[in-house]
Amino acid sequence: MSFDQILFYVFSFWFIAASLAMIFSRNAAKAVLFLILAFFSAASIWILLEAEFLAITLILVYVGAVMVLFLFVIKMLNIDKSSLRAKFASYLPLGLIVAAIIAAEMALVLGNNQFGLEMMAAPARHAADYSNITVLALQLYTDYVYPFELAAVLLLIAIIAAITLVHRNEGNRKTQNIAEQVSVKAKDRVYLVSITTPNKEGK
Amino acid sequence: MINTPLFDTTSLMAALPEIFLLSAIVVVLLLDLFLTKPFKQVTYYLTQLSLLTTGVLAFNLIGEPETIILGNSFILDDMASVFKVFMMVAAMVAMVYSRHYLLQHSLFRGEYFVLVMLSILGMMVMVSGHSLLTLYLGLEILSLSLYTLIAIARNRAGAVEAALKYFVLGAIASGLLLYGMSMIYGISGSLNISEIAVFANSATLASREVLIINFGLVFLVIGIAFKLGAVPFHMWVPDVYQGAPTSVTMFISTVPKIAAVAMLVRLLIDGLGAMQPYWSDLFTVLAILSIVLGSIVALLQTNIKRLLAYSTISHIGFVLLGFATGVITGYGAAVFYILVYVLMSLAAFGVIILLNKKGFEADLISDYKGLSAHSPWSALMMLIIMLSMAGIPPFIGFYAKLFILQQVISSGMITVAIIVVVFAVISAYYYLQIIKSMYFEDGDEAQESIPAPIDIQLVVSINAVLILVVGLFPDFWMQLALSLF
Amino acid sequence: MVSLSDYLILSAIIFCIGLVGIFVNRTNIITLLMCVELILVAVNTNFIAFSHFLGNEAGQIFVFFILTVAAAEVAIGLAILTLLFRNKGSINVDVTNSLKG
Repeated sequence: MSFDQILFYVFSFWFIAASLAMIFSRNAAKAVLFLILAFFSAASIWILLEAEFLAITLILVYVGAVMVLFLFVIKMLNIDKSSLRAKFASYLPLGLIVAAIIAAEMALVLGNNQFGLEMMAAPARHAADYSNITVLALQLYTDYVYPFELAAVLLLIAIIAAITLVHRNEGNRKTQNIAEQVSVKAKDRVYLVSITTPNKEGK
Repeated sequence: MINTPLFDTTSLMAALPEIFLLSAIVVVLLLDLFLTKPFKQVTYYLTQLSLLTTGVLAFNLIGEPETIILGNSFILDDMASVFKVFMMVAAMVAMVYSRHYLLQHSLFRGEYFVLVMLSILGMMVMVSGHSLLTLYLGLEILSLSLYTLIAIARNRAGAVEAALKYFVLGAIASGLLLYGMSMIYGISGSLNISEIAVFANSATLASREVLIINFGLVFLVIGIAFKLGAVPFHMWVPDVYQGAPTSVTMFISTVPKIAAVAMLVRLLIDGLGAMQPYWSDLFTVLAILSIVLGSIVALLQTNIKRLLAYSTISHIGFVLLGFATGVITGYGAAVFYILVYVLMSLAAFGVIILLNKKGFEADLISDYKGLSAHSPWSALMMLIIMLSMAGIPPFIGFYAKLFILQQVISSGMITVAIIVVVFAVISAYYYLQIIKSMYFEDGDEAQESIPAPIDIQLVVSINAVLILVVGLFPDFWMQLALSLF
Repeated sequence: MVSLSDYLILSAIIFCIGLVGIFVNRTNIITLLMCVELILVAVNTNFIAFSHFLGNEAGQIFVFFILTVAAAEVAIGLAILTLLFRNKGSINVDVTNSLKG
């Protein structure tokens, strides 16, 4: 077994294990953490495939931003410990069996007869001074300039959507009034009330 | 065929409609920020103007030679231009209806129109997509805008729930479609549609290559079926139709269907046309299931939006059947059918929206009882639309179904044709039921009709009359549809 | 050496785990969204593996765009989720059932 293979199997193991742990995790916050582990393993596998730029992007964008967004929403809506799994168990056996069958069938189609080393030989490794980013950038800003512009439109939609949907109009928004906070005096906050205990006559 | 692999600004003329629309979107978006309440309508008029201009620009490109630009990822041909023109016209009509609905239900916001234009931009990208990448990006631009449009009625739990459902199932569909695309890329080594076509057409395909293409093809077909809402991937359709605000439902059920058909043509006919025998079989199954289920389940509905959802499913079945024939005339019939469907669906939702009042959605079939008594003109238009949808001559819906059936029979699928006819007759029942409750049942209470604005009344009338008029000379439209292939 | 089919089978397994995750987590929208991410990572692995073995970068470019789309998609999905929470006070929705029950 070559070193490549050992690395591949180690990372694959963690990738699959983390994915399984994620879908079966009963706690949403833990599920996010498992997904992060899965993404790290995926990134490692991408590095084995010499896609360094994308591997790093996966970690920066996904683990750094998207997963944090997930965690943020989970904490904001306080749903990490909610009991959402009422129907969980009843679907489980059937789901697992179906998935195992589909995976086995896909593995048959994608197996060594179609994509083994004798069908598609592993390419030679790039030299040490090979820059993945340069290669991608050269294509991205020439041949793929149209998709690049479209990606900009997509991000514009994401901005419009997030603001349109979640932003509250003035009136039903909870905001601070800084001026009022600054100008507050001690007597506005603390009232000293003298309470007279009623005596026996009721006075 | 003109091929301009390098970036060249003069070649960008072919993409002029898209470029104009994107600029207009940005202008409208910024302008809307500075409009105070009394001037909010300006956004609407600017939207209509932008759509009109885009449509005219696209119309001017009809007849241009086939051009592939922008790194082989954008194609301009007659099909793209004609589809774009139809999409613009349909979108303009939809916006006239939308405005009435939005004003009645206090949902009028500038972002609504911006998002509609963005989704149309996505559809134009799909229609002109000449690589797997641009088709995918166009689809996502469309989908993301639609999810947001549904949820724009953010105080309605039903709408938000529908948006979430559409979102989750749409994301799964994209995942399946992408898996298929990855297989096609992996075996052909290219994302470009014409290079994929060359690969799939080569006579020396090894059996492993055919196997992988078909493996990817299954995922592509499932992804497309999801987006079109064909059975068994239809589960989102009724819920989304019912939950979304009616104006958004109308939009989803019309314009994006043209784009989905265009994507189907680009991927499966332009790209994988050589694999036609394989995907034809899949389409036949999907089509029959859609027609059967769409016809039967619609009988049980009490909500007219849900009913139209099932009606859409069965119409989509007919479209897929046209593609399943695998001949040019069949594709033409399918394109003709989808355009007719868009015309009818727009009119149907137009009448529903016409009857909308503050606090009254007019979305139950029982709301249409005794319609002929208090608003006879609306009832008459609904009558035309329902008869056309049921496929009764001389309305255009009849010819649409007839052309499909002719192609199905001439390609030898007699059993399929018989099944389809039987269920078309069954589906006529629920359309006729609406007519019955409009004309022969009394309403619960005497509803006075509030006169709707003249623009929507006029447009709905023209829309419904077109169903009749186009039905008088369908051959012209059929020839137009055929000329696209 | 690791063959292309090893990578493809790995991503097929992840793809199926994503699908089964959607199947068993129908009511948990957050996990559902994460399962969609898993499916996309599987697809990305496919593209990158093909790109490496074909020696052409188009696959990697495609992945670049899938990552962009997925990030935008998550932003919108979580926005809709927040709206749902505001409207219903919970995010307990069965996305595969009918709206009425």
